[in-house]
Amino acid sequence: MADVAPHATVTLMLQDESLSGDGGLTERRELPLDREVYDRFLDGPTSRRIGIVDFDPDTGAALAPPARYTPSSNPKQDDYDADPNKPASPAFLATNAYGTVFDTIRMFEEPEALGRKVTWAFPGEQLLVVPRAGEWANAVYDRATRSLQFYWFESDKLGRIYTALSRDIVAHESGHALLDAVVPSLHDGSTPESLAIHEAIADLVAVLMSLRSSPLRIRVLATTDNDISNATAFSSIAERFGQAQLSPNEMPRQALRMLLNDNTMSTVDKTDPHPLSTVLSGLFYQTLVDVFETGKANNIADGMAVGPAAGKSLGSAAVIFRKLLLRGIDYLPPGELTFADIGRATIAADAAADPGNDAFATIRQLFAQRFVDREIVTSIDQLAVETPAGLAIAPDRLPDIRDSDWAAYSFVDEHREDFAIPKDTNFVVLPRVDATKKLGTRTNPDTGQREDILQRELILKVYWDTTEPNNVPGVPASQRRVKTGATLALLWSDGHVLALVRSSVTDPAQGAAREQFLTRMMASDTPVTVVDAEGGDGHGAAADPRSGVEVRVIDDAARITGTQRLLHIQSMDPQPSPPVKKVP
Amino acid sequence: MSELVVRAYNVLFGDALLVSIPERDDDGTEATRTLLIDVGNLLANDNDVFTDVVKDIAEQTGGVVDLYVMTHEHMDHVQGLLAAANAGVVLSARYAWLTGSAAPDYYEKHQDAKEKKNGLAQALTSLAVQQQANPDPWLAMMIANNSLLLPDGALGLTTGDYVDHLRTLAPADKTTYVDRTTDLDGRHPFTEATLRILAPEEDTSTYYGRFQQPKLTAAGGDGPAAEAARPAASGDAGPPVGIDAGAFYDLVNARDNVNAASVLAIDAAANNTSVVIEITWRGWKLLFCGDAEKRSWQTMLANNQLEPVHFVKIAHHGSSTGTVADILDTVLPQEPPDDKSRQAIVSTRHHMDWPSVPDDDTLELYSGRCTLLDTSTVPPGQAVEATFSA
Repeated sequence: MADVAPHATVTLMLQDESLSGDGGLTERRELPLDREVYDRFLDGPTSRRIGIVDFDPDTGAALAPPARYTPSSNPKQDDYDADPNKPASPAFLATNAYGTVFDTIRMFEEPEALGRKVTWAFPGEQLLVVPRAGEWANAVYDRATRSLQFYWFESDKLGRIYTALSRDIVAHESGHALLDAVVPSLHDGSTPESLAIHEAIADLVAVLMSLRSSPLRIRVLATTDNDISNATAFSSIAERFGQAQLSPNEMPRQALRMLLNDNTMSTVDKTDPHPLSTVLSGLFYQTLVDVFETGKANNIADGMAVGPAAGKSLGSAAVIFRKLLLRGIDYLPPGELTFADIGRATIAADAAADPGNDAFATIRQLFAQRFVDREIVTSIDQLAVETPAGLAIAPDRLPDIRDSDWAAYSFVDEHREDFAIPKDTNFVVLPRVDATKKLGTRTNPDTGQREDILQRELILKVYWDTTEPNNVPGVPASQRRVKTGATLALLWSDGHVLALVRSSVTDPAQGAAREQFLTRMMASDTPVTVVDAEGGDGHGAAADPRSGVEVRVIDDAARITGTQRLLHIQSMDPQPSPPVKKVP
Repeated sequence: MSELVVRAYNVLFGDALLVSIPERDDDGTEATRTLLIDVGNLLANDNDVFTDVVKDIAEQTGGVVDLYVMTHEHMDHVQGLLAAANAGVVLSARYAWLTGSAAPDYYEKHQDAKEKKNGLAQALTSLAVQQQANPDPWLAMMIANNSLLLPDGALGLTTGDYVDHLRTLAPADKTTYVDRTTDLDGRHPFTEATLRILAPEEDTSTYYGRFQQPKLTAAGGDGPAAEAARPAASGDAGPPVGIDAGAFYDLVNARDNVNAASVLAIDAAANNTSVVIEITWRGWKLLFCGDAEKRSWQTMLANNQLEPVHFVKIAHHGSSTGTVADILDTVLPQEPPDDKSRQAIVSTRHHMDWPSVPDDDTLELYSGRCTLLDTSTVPPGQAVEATFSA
């Protein structure tokens, strides 16, 4: 164990240059390593959980670390030799990407959010970050290579754009990696909604990272006359990237996706995850605006001037918004998911961590109503939180349930009906999560000091397969396997049920959406590896490295995996003819 | 009884097909007219095989083929006639068809295709630079096959010279750059046999696909490389200090796979510009596919071009990407439409130049429906024959 947690001070690009028009806005950040494990900053930057790998742009060969680590005793001096005045230098690109990824992970894991360390969805502890992956107007989280890859591209209008310089893009890709860590089953989503959830949450993580910066909040309020319901740095993702690229209809885009929208399920293309994601991200952003406006109005009513009222409210809104979004993710059940599942999990997690504040209940009510407004559910009753008392566990059994697979499986098996696991169906219990979350602060009556209100939870997740008919051309099976699941959250102190969240992916509408999406995928250019174990074809075949998508058929049932990466690499435009089977 | 004969030569890894077609002219006399399709192989330094092949073709044709067809601009289809000419064996043609996109002014008239081709050219140039820094025999072979996309003379390769030679095989006014829309009247010597072009489309941009690939290296010029004056991570380009070695090597390997996928996409785009010809003669139908891959087959199917035939020159040397199982059901249905015999020829080398070509499962699709002939069953320079009597 390290005696003192190592720190590194770095300068990071806060926002795309397009926002400030003066070469970008930077901020110095202090990055602390975990004192509980042996960890050190190395050249790169590199540490135990994040490692920079730089490649020679000409030859593709791996290069020595771009930035050198020299701990400085001068508080005004950075600890990596990356010059913010040379943003395109390999050292700054690497340091900026590393620092932003580091800070995004930290934001996820702090007690104000998940209250625990996440475990990556891939083997090993280290996420590789490639700041100069090659030339492409793209950035990618790739589970298979345990990496975030940031490309550069040339724009006629704006010159060379390095995606590694964009806080939005780096935070967005980090969001994909973190969501994959918390809900790995979304990696294999086979409905547009499942994939759209990945995209929406990654976009919202980028918003959270913008909100995390005090200078940026001040700058945004100053430039928007204290009204974030205008197009602002928070509501448009990756502005410089968006302006440099043309949209498919050749109209310049203001940004990749505008979160400030009133899209509903009936106004977007429900078969395409990208536009569909804006319904969910817009809903969350609208909630942020709601919280901000309410707080600002209250502050003004309390006698504050507009500017300070807005500043204080935005700071509070950022905290509330982070809790709402990230804790909701932690309650998501494994398997395929719908937008309504997001609503249920978010409301359940927020209610579970509510210290009894009426304002929070009001926000939840407002949030639930947005799901109705956006045509995701027809009534807020569909988002009601389940807390079946029969799933409570005596506190002295909780450590055993946490640590022992045997105990956890036995518990779930005893309570199949509560979890809605069909009789005789095999299930999988995931490693349990022990999290300690900060609910707020209070004054200790004995000491008179302010202290954190903490809540320890045990989160248990279980999933199982359901099957549904498959008629997708090119998928040689009559059935499809679809993962569905449930999350049980228990209060550590007394073992009572905080929430049971079950997914709703087995209804016919979701089945039809899967059929439509997979048919479209198979008819497109997506290189799909079809492995028909029953027919003896493709044994040991690896998923195509270009897409990572695999269709594996066993016992006349197909399972589709690896679709998440399509979000960043795929045009789903169909081929000119009916889909075809892969030649075995 | 007359016989139409298809001779497929073993030119190592490439195509060289001579089709001899007996035709009864209006005055009742019968003459045999010849169609030569391609002549090339992928092993750029192995030109000796062409001398015997082209000598044999010259003996069969009197040194002048009636129609020569260059299906597409890949080395394994274009190299042989110039190589043989350089060795003193000269062949000419009365008529010549070259794939439409080989026309000197094609890309000026088709800007979409030009843009897409230029994108691939940049990617290939990057790969060529990378390949020189880190030699990879497979990548080198694939780059050589597509070297027409590289700047003139790059890597010492001159695919353009081979194509230029083919432009001069026939008189200029008898040389046609063809696509599916070309009016063939007066463009060939055949009087009895009917020729139909099924592919390529006039606008070849349709063959480039929309699946996006990154370029992992710069194409030269004032790229970011100017700022990368640092050494490799270590002597063997191993992981930098502190980087998980397994993750690092997985990443490097994945990048190599992306490069392989990129060069395959480049290769496929050119393959899909293949001229695909259907010949109808005295009740027989024969299909010559060049190296058409999935997109070309799908386009032909969508355009209702495909019909059951009695002979298929298997596309792309028997690769899995040159045959689409469902579409083969249209061309060679499991149940023959008539009682005529059916044959297919694959011109390939088994697992020598390219581990996955030919694909055994693909060849089984043909052998289960018709007689399968394979050029690799005869010595280099010799040919297998498929005959059709009438």
